[in-house]
Amino acid sequence: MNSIQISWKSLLFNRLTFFLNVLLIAFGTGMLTLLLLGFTQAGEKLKGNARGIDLVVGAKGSPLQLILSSIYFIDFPTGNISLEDAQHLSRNPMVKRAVPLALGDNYAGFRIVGTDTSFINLYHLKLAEGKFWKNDFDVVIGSEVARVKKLKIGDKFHGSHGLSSDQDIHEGSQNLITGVLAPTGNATDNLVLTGVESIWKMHGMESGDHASDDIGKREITSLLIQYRSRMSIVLFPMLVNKSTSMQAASPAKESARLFSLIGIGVETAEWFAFTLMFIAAVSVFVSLYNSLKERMYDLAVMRVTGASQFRIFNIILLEGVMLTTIGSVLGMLAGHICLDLIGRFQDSPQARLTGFYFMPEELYLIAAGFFIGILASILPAIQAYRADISKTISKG
Amino acid sequence: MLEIRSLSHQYNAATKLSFPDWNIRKGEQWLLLGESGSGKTTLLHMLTGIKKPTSGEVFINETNLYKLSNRALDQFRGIHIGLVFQQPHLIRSLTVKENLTIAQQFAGLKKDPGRIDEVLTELDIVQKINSYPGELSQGQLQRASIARAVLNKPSLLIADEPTSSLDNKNAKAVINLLLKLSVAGGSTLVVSTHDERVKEAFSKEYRL
Repeated sequence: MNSIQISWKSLLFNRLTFFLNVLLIAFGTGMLTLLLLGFTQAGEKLKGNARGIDLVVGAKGSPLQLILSSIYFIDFPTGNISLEDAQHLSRNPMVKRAVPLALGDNYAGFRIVGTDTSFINLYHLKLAEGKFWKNDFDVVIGSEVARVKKLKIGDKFHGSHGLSSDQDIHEGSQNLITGVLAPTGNATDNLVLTGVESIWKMHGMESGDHASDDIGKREITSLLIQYRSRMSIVLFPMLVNKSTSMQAASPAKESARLFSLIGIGVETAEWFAFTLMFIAAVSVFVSLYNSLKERMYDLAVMRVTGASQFRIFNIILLEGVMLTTIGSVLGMLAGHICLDLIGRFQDSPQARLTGFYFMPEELYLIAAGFFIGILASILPAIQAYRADISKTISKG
Repeated sequence: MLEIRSLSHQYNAATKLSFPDWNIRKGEQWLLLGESGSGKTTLLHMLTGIKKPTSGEVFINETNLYKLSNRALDQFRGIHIGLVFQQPHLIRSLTVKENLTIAQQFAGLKKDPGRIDEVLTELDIVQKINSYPGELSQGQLQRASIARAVLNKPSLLIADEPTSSLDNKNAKAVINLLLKLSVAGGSTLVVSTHDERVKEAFSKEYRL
């Protein structure tokens, strides 16, 4: 039997204490894992979705709301802008690419986005099968939409008005699926794409209002803009905000703002987790220290049968380290499982979190567990190292 | 094989115990007699190498115990000295077999399950080989703890008041066992006691 086996059997001998301490460590580590993974994934999703988009132009209102609705497809749009204004802006020499978005409908909670081929180029979308929309009411669906709703090419469905419910169904023309997108890992997986005209026709048809054919009254929700050069960063938003009735919002700036808002909550939770870890360390220390009193005789017997002081020191230290390392590994696993469960029950499929996501930083958590073990057991180990065997045995 | 020279122990400024010189030859069986508090345990611990005397020297097989390094002394003790405690004690989290296995390993010897079986059979508790100390009776515990002491065939077997908590029958049995084992293993035996029942079995006495 080596020291590890001896320590392990000793841990198992006090099962309840072992269980309690592992639980404490696992809880703290689990929470930190959860925060680390969740926050990083959310950040990546946010960044991934905003890649290549320098500015969003939409109706006046909250800039954050505009970003959330046009890039992440989570909040409600701020309103509509006239197609004419939008087209005017698109022709500005500073603009390299302008992608129109027409929002407002959904299919079973998945947003229907009216746009044009520039959207496909912006997100570098590829088809898994089929082809892009050509006629009115042709749609291309994201991979997640196809998976969840078990849709394939040639299927038809009715869209609903609004962004989430499927109560207010558009009667009239059905949408025809002509293509399914390859998975991208960003919000487009959860979208139903179609031409802007389809959206106009859908609404025009319903109201029977043919005046909407008049280009001056046509509206879109927002415009995603890519600059020709970085020089425009300052100038272009000013131009939009000052000289038009529209507003310009920068995804970088707004996501940073959003992140700092979430950050406060995350930080609080982190401190809570650190406190838990500290309590766990104290608990491991107290357990080892208390058990040491009972075990002094055991240790003295080991010494008498030839164990060196260093061996005894090792046995106690190993107990602490094994306990906290097991706790932190279990906690890490629990964190992953928890995050995956959260992802499964999540409402907004656009930013779905997954537990199958691993980060090198997690190794720091395991290392932290290891060091907490050393920290908590070093004093008891030193005490055991120094113990006077003769006195211990005489006391019985 | 065992020799003590002008050994003394200073408890505190006022009390100092001095022990008469003592010379034991290989294979002898000695009784260490003395009242409670006369320093029997102190002397035994000095012989075992777990209590450094204030002055004087202890030789076992011509090795000056307290001239050894800590590590060497631990190992020397594991190989050459078997100690039977006043209160029998095994490590609670380990089975009887594991308790004996670590005694072999701590002494720096190879694992030898055959020897463990042999000793436990000799002491008639081989059926408890996989039991934990908590599952043993006091008598079984006593025998298991003797088994551990003689496991490595020590050249010196020391027992500290092994009969103090036993009835007549068991006391006699334990003493006979120690005598038998020390002869069988070629060990020199030193038994400390203030128990009159034990005296008759020994011919050599060292009195404090």
